[in-house]
Amino acid sequence: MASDPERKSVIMAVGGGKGGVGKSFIMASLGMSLARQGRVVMIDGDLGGANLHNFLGISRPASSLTDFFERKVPLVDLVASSGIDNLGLLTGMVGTIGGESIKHAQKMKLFSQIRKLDADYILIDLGAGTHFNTIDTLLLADKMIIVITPEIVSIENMYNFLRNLYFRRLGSVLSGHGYRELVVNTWRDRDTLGIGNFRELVDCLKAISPEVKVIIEAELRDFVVNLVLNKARTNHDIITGNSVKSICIKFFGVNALYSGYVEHDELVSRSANQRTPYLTSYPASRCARAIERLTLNILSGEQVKVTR
Amino acid sequence: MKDRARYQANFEMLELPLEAGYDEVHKAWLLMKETYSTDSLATMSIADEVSEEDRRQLLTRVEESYQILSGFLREHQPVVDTSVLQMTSAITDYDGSALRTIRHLLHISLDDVAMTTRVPRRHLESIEADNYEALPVAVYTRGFVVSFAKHLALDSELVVKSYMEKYRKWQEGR
Repeated sequence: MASDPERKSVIMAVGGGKGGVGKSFIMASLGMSLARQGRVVMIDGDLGGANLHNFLGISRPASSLTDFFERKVPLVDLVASSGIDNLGLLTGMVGTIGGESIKHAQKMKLFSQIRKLDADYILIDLGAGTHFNTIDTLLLADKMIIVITPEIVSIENMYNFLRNLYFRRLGSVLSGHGYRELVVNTWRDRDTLGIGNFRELVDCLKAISPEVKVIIEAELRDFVVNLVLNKARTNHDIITGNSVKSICIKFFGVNALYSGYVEHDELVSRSANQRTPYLTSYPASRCARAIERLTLNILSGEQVKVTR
Repeated sequence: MKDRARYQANFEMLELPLEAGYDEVHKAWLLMKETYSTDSLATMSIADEVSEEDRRQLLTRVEESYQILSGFLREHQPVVDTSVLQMTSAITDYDGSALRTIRHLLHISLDDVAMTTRVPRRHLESIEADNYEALPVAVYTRGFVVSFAKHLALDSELVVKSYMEKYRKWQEGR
């Protein structure tokens, strides 16, 4: 990923198994926060239901990724102003074609043009679900962000999403080393191999050969996920974020960081309805400060310090 | 730092960097016990990956790491907080608010005390508030005060003597 020395922008992407956990809100706020220190381009990659613009307080820009896919307009010409200094927006599309129908070649072209965008930070907001286009886009990022809420549905979805994310990465890395289909085939034969869960699959793969083991272990070390807990109401909720991180480390072997939490605030949806960005309306709120801390943590790799 | 490298696996077990201090180790240990000893939101939704047995083994390893690290760090960090020393040597008569003040000086939360001493939090609150009415009969209260005082590294005999004297007076006056 770091092969291109010319590239200077940091790509951050948010994904997660469940809709409504606040991915777009977190990303929009992160974008506004980063725009104070550098040039930001935000990409609404929720191709079926783009809604990032709502959190930035504007209506949907006229140009969208549809023009890139259907009319071959270069990506750089589609970046619209967001009305906020230093913050450009590239929206998804609604209604025309869904994200599922994008062809591999189109996707590769999109990725290469994203990398060439002239910005310090490129933020990609992805739709819910575990479609491989979503996962591939997330894997493209330098900073992978996963948003959860302290609810069992969200957390369960997140583990599932993480498994998918990790499978996909492992599959493509091992294919790159000539072990085509190894992950998929091993999983297919899971009953004969006695594989019941994610850890057992990884252990089984590692046992195939010392080379595979080395590849997987190197991959695990570099696989960093930034966890963000949204809609926290109690200190217990905040601690839940830390527990989820611990499980990601201990049982998925993933290098998870608990980058931040944002408290529940009714005003978030109100400000979206009123078409004013939350951070503009309530710059001194607890949430606003939480987002500032979150931004710094994601950049530096620092984590939440949980107190009891 | 070279010393610490020997304990890398233990620091990793508690998900801490090598430079973590005793307070951090203590806190991480409490959090990890909480995460893995009960059914929490975080563990419930992953029963297929984390079995009861996994959790038990993990807790044992966490406990070992904590014991090793706390021993090592206590030895290497003789923390002398003079404000606490001054405070405690000035107090001869312990009531709830004295205990609370010392607890604050030591940066220990009530949840911390409750977790380690196994004294229910509401009783600790009542002890600090001198709310004798809400406390159980003397024999229990006495035990709670001893545990609390020990957790704050105080002379528990001295503390319990003056605390229970007040408790007795209240009882007689009823």
